Amino acid sequence: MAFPILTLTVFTPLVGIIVVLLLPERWVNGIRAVAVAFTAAALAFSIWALAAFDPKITGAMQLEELHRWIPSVDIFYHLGVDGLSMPFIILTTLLSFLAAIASFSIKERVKEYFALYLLLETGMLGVFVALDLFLFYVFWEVMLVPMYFLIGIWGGEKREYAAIKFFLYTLLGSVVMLLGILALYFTSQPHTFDMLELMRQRGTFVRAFQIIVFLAFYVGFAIKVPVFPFHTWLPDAHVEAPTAISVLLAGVLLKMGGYGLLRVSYPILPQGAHWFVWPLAILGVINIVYGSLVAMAQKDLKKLIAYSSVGHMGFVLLGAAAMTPTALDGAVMQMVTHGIITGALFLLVGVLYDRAHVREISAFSGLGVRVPVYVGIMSFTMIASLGLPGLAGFVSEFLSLVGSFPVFPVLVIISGAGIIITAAYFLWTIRRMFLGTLTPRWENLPDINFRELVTVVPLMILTVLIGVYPSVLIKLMDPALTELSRVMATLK
Amino acid sequence: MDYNWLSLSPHLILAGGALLLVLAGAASRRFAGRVAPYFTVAVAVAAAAAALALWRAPATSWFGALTVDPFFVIFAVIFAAALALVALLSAGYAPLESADRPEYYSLLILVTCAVSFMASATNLVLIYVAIEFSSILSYVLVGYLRGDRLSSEAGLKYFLYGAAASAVMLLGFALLYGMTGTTDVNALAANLPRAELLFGTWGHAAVVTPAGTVAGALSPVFIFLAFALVLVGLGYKISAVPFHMWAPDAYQGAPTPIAAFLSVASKASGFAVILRLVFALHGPLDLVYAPWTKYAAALAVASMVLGVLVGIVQSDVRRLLAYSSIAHAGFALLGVVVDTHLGFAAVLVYLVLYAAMNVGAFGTVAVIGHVTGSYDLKDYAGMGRRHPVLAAALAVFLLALAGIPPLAGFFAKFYILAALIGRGYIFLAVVAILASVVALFLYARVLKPMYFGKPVGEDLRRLSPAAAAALVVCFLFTFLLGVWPHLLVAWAKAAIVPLLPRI
Repeated sequence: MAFPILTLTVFTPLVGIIVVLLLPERWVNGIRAVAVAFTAAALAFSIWALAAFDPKITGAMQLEELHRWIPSVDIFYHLGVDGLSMPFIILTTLLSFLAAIASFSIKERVKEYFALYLLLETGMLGVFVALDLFLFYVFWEVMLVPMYFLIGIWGGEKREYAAIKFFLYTLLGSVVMLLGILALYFTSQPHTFDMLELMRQRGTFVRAFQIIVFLAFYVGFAIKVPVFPFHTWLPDAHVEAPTAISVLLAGVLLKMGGYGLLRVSYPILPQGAHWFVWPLAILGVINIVYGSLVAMAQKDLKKLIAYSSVGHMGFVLLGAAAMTPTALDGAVMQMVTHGIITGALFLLVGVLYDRAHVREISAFSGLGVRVPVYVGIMSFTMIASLGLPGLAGFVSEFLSLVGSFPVFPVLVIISGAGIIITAAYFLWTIRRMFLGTLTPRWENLPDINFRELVTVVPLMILTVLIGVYPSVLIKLMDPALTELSRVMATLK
Repeated sequence: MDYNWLSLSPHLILAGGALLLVLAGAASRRFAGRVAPYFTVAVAVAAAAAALALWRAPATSWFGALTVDPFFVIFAVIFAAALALVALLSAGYAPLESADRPEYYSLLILVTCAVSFMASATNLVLIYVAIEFSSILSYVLVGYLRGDRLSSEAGLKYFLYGAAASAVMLLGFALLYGMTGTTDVNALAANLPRAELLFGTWGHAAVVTPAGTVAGALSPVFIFLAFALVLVGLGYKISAVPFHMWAPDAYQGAPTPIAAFLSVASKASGFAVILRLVFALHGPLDLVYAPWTKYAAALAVASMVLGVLVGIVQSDVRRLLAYSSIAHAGFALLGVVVDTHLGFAAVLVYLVLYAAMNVGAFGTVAVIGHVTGSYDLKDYAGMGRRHPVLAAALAVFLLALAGIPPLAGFFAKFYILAALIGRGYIFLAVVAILASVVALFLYARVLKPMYFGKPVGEDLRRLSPAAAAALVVCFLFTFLLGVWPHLLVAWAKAAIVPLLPRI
């Protein structure tokens, strides 16, 4: 039996929970150190998995682990990675590690916070490595509980409302998905929850069935992405969540919808996916344009970034709908770069909010004079988010649009408007907040500190690295996505 | 002869234990009062062991009145577990301290004996007697806090509802007997076509007997009527809508450990009888009155929907849990509606998992109520700070009831849903999942004050070791059976398949 590196990665945070719970509540720094140590260990394990992973192998999972779990219902403990999931695992462990450091600003009920935080990390990682639909669903749901408490206890003013709204919305989506999972189970012969086995059997699923099940899965995934019109939970959850949780929400949780689409819906239900291509592309464009327009109208900085996520996710949908290898590369890459850049943006908003305790854009002016380092980093990240060439966001949006153009020329042109609007609101925000004369109120605002720099700088380095040399990422995922694109083309 | 004493051993252990405790109470009240909870646990363990020993030796004895088979064993284990846990919870329950303790525990053991008879009875008369036996004991236990007005009122309400329901059910049994000429449950099916002799002139539907011959005209009205009447009694037992009205009052007024027992063991015993009757009449029920599943489905849907919707507006935690238990009865009933091996097995799995988490939930509420003296949601504010462990336990049980994986409630619901989808009942599955989503809101009504609210009152420290032990056991089962339900599923299938070889 091979070394269970994926199990180690996923369950290391869970061990961390036990350690955290055993520590006395007043050892605040000890709890923080333990939590960060365990997220670091998970990061180390995931890098180990990356080292053991060979992106050139396509059509097969790697580092697989397969054990009988509930044989009376044909459920297996089946883990594995390929070029699609590997980037997300690294993204999750990295952001979890950095956001754990950022969580030092949590002062109340630290023990509970980190216990829930680590549970959240296990849930997120599990989704990206599970190859059995039952297991996938369990991890998918496990995330909701810590998220509910993390938003509800440590969130902003309307936290209770945001927490229950998030919980109910995503639960609704996932239970509908559960019906889809069960439908697949009973239609497959022999009955199975195994994704790979279901992919082998996809030829036996009739088209109408594929469409219905695709839609069931789509509800679950679309709420997570979020796709218009299922996006209304997102601004509430984002704005009310504490900084570190916003980072994980934007950086990891939003990726699960797109990941699920490409991992489950596409390869298992190809005809359903082809049937839904046009709606998906159009919804993607709506996300891009509508999300950007709404973002522009926001007065709250955090809300602005939340809506910018809606827009950015549109490129994922558009790329996924086009199904060309380049477009799929763009879609997946957009998810990764959005995780990095928007994760950094939320960290930076948190830095400002911790000091100023307001997030109104209009409350700030001329910050560049007072906190130059912070403003430099924030401007850099915003510009990366709007897609400046040379930075990561540009590459992924570009790939997504180039790859989609042959399939949806008109839609791609319309999405161009979204890019312009995005550029407009970010530049406008920079001008309003950072340039001009300093508001007297902020004359004593301290600049970003060392700990906060530690959380942001790695993300900035990645932003530049991927922007200048995108092959590091593309090499990792392209073989798997090219294979997926080929499969989808043959099963039209 | 047909006196199989061995197959009676679980019942005899319970009955003997109860009598012994009464005698001990007569000899030395103080001593008996002190050891009663632990003695009850020992009796429960012995009864469960005796039942498990019968797993491999299924037998129908006492002239066909009593059947002990794996199906019974699973129920007997649920009952024994509920008895042991409730006994431990009662040990730490303040209002009972001034009550007659030996008698309380001996009644508790006796009611377990009664529900065990319900699960093993295969004769209409014995079924009725067992139901009455368990109901009468339950009335007494619900009203056990004599000084408490709420408790007395609850006992009386429960009694009035129960008396009416069982009278109606008895009429149903009488009709069945009249049509078939037998009280043996397993002989009902073969004898049903004889009803033409009685009602032939009224009826028109042609009936195909299990043997395949056309038996002539039998009015489906009478068969339907018989089942409808029986269902009143059993619906009351499982607290399904519209026979649920007693449950919130009874659970609120009863000593909370008794509410836990009623919501788990009593409910399970109702399901045991329903399943036995459905198994016995499986062929004729389908042939004569095919839409019976539709009526059961209507009850199930009504229970789920009404349970969660009315539960949401409750402010007393016990009432809230009562409505939740109504919704769960509806969910479990869906497994009966499915009418496949998978569906029936899912009901058994559901009842076992539900027992663990619901006793846990009621138990935690009892412990919290014991310390704070309040069951009002308002007084749960900040419980997460006042007693982090208890609050976390309650949160786990409530999330389990809501069906969040990997806790027990998820697999329970998952398995029922699997059965529904497997049979193609998409609509029911959709209703069930929507009800579960709304149910989450119901449980969040308790979670919210506990974790998001400001603490009211001082920190809680005192916790009875017996009650704590019971909660730990519930927690372990809620977690472990949720993560690894394999053996449970295998046992449930093994219990169901031999009873229904034909589907």
